[in-house]
Order: sequence, then C-alpha cells, then structure tokens
Amino acid sequence: MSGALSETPRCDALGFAFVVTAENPRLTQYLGDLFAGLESPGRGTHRYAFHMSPDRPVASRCELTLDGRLLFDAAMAERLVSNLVRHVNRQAIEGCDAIVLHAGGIEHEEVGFILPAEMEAGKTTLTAGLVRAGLGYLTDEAVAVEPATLLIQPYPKPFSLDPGSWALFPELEPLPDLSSDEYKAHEWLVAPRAVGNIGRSCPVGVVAFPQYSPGAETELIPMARAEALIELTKNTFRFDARPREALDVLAEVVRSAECYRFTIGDLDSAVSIVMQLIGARAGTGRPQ
Amino acid sequence: MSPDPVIDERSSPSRGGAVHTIELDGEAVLLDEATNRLHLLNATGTLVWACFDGTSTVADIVTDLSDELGEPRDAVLVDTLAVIRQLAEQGLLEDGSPGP
Repeated sequence: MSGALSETPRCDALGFAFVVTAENPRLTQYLGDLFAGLESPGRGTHRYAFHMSPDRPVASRCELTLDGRLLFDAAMAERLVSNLVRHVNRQAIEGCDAIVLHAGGIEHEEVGFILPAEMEAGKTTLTAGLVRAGLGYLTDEAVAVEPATLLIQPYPKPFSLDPGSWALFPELEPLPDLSSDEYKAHEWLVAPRAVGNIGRSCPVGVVAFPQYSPGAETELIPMARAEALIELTKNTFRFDARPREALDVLAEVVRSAECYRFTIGDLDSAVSIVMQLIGARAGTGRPQ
Repeated sequence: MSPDPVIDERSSPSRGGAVHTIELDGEAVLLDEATNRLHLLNATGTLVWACFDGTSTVADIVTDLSDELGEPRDAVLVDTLAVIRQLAEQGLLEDGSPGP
C-alpha cells in the first residue's frame, strides 16, 4: 500500500522535537491526539515514519523509521504504536539537560506534586486518577527539574495504562478507527486531554513515594527530607552521570517540599487523600 | 584513611576531600565522589561530622559536644568514637590517626 503521507503536528518531548508521518491518516490522527500535549510549533525536527513495504515478509511488512533509520518492524503499523511512544520517551529522557526523575507529576495552582517510584508502583494509575479528579497533568513517567530554576518542565506524554488499571478507567479505552486492535493489546495509550487538563510549569511542593499495596490502609507517612533525598537519587535517570549536580538540585527540591511515603491500598482512597492534602495546603478545601 | 587506623581521643578527624555534604533538617547526606556512593547520617552523626576540621582532636570535639548537649562526657565519647569508626570504615575520613 502506498499513498499520500499525513503528518502529526511538531511535538517537543523535553527538547526532543519530532513529527510522525504515516500513510494512514486515521493512524496519524490517533498519534497526533496522543502527542497533542507536546505540540510545539518551531523549526527543526526529527521525523518518525511508518512505511508499508509490500515486498517484505508479512511479519515485517510495516517499518517504523527515525530520520530514515529503521527502528522496528511488524506485520502492521498498529503493533508499532507502543514502540513509538517508548522510543520517544527514551529520546526525551536521554537527551534532556534537566534532572529527570522517574516519577509521575501533577500540578495544582502552580504547585507540583511528584510521585517518584520504580515501575509497577502505581505511578501512572495514581497520576491518571488525580488528573481525572481535576489536577493538571505534568507526566506519568519523567519529571524534569530545571537546575537553574527548580521548576518542573511539563512532559505530558501519552498515559501508558497497564491491563491491571483498565477496569479503573473504562472510559479511557482508546477507540480510534483503525483496522486492528493491536495498538492496545498490551497497554492502553491514552491522550492526556482525554483524561483532563495539562499542568503548568511549577516548583515541587510535595514529594510522595507511592507504593501500591492492595488491601493496605492508604496513608501518607511524613518522611525526613534527608531520607527523601536519598530516595530521589534512586529514582533519578542517569544520576551517576553527574551525581554532585543532581544531588544539589534534588536537595533544593526537598528543602522546600513536604515529603511522604505513600502507601496506596486503592485508587479512590489515594486520590481522596491527595485532594485532602491539597485542600489543607491551600486552606480552601478541595480544588475546583 | 589508612588501614586499621587507631582512633582515640588524640585523633584529629578530617572529612574526606572527595566527600560532598548536604545537610537537611539536622541530618546529612554525604556523597563520596570517589565512589559515587551516598551515605545518610542521623542527627548524632551529623553533629559529629560537622565538628571535623582536621585540627580539633576527638577530645576537643567530645568536650564541646558534651557541653552543648548537656550529656555526660563519657557517654558522648563512646558515641563519638563509634560514629568516627563507622565513617572511617566507609572511607569518608582523611587519616585521623594521632600525630607523633
């Protein structure tokens, strides 16, 4: 199959600028929606492209390239959507000059709440729940803190929801008009604006280390800042590349933040407890 | 720190030159830039760490801390030596052996 190419708007993922082209305009539309939170007009960009090559074996007939270089292939483009999102994420993190934490992040009234944790700790689920509840989405994966300003640089990538979270967000099941459901076989990639609003750049006000523990009582347990600093370093991408600078930046982050361990028994109670914390901080009750 | 240093009241501990210190609410995080390892000091350890200047002896430090904390000197000495030995084991001190 060949035809006219369609293209997403230019996007910027923590300094990594890109567009995606495909021959199927419905796929381009879906990808454009996924990356809409990263849209950024400007010049200069990398180019991902989906190509169909009828002469290749069926199992590798669709190729995903970056600037003409083959990255992945599969039988159909829909199978490569997750690869694309993960590749963009890796490029964003590896190329970013900021200190980047493995964390979810949300914003309310220009105060950032970050949720640093390793995989499977419930970051994305909690972040999505908080955005659905009205907080601004910063990222579900990589909180970038600018060393000079200590401000979080929003990185509203597509949410990547694992099957374990699907029942909590039935309304977020992606339903683009594509020829196959392969794009959501293993995870749901969800456009941020389908969940809620995008957050603004802001300083970190609260650091909470989530740990999903089914059936446990959901609670925020205050944590000493020095201990929190150590934990943050464990959740910093490429900490060893510039440990002293990263440590100094993270120390300033925790110096002006409340720090907690966050045991999460279930999503609803976790969202509720964060909303109560926000209300208590603002002294005005729940956020509107 | 030289191997198996003798650490006693005559020692003059000094912070390792490659150790970067961050203090937060009375607790310290130490980054050993030679190994890229991090260490967390509790309040007592941080208090002792702050006294290391390479000149003051352990005896001086213990006397100061005992006065400041209002604790018996013997108890402070035991705690201080324990902290110093632990820091030395972790390679965070310059040679603090007693002088000639």
